[in-house]
Amino acid sequence: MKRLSKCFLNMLIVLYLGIIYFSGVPETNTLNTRIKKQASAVALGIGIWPSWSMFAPNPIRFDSKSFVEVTYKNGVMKEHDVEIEPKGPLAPFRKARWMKYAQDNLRSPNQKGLLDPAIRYFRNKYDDKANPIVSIKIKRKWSEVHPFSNHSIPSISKTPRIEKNEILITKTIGE
Amino acid sequence: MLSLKTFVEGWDRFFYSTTDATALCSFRIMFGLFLFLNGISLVEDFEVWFGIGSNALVPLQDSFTFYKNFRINIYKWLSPTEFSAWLVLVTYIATSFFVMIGFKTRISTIICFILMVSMQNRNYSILNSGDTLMRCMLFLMMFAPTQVKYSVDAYLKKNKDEPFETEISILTIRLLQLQFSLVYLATTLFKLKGYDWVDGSAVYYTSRLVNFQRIVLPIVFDYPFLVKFATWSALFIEFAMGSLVWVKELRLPVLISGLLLHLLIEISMSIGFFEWVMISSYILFLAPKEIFWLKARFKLLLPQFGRA
Repeated sequence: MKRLSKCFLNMLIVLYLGIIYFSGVPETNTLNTRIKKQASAVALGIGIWPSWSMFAPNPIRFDSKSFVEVTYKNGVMKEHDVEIEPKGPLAPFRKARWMKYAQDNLRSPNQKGLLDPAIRYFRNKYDDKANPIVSIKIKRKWSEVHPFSNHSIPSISKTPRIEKNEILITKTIGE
Repeated sequence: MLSLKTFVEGWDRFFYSTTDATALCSFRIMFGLFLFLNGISLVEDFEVWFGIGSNALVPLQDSFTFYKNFRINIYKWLSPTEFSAWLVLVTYIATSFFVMIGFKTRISTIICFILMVSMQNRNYSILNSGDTLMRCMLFLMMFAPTQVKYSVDAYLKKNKDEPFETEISILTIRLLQLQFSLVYLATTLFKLKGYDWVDGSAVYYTSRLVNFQRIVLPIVFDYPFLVKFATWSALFIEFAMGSLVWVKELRLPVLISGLLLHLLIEISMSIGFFEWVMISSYILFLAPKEIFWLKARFKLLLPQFGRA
């Protein structure tokens, strides 16, 4: 291999490794934080942005579900799960996407932009021409896992939970 | 003390030696299969994730305004119609199939990568670590000579009496291996920043997430000492996959531990393509004779299935 092309290739290798390293690992110092910003911008641009913080730094301690509550003109109220229950051999992969959307992103304060389109989508999905929707709510219910104890822990199938819920958005149709 | 000359020689040996293409080309088949299944699994929910107007949970226009900086997103250059959206998915499925069988491999891999990045930029709200891993690996696959063995391209070349050279540069395999190791190293560093993994309680919480549960393993996660053992073992294996896998004598034990960890996670939790792509990447760390050994065992098993 010619010396110049090898030198160029070595530069590309170092550059690539630098980008995946600094954009992929957590910040530990000021230099690292600054380089991470630049590295992440390049990684995002060329399509190699990472996301390796799986169940880290601490795993979540609750099960979360999002629901759509639809109120019709005649006063009937119906609640639907945002997620669908996929069937077939590829169901686990489809379910993983629905879970990511409904359990992680839709409830996230950083992803509030997802709520309005979700309202439009569910209005379209559940509307009834003869009995139109007058109000839609998207809410989430979650249950926190009982804290871990070094002495004894409840069985996996009988772990106590603390049930909670919150309304993420309410939309009155015709507003 | 390490001299500069020794370092340069080591660097050259590490990145510029040659190797047999068996591992890389076997990986291409398995990886291509997951790319293909990924595409197929998008078909049924396509309207919801990638549709146009109020048929979609994330409108097309919102996906353009979500990012300020440059991103690869082919949807920006296509007309905002259902046809265009479907065209992207169908082309992605076709090219991922071509990657799997090794037909027009290089150009198929490039197109597949561009379309995958575009779809991920089109709808960021459904991405999990499996999507991220596939995208990062596919980027490197664009530069790798994955067509030289077990491919339609290789078959056609052989028929023309111009077979591919199967002794290839190790460079892209090394980069794929480094990317693979970095996933483990990064996740270990992220986990060490928290306290649940360090104090040994993390697996208690993950095992009790009903939404992720697939098969509930009895007893294993019901005692504090077993939970701590499972948590620290998982953390150590992830650290080993990011570091000790590079030590010649430890490579096989580390790979086997990693494989068991992924299989256990796959049995007990449902987390998409991540486990499968990770498992298929293990092949990149195998020597050709180890792959042939596996292939021979697999062939021995096949007639058994046939008889059953």
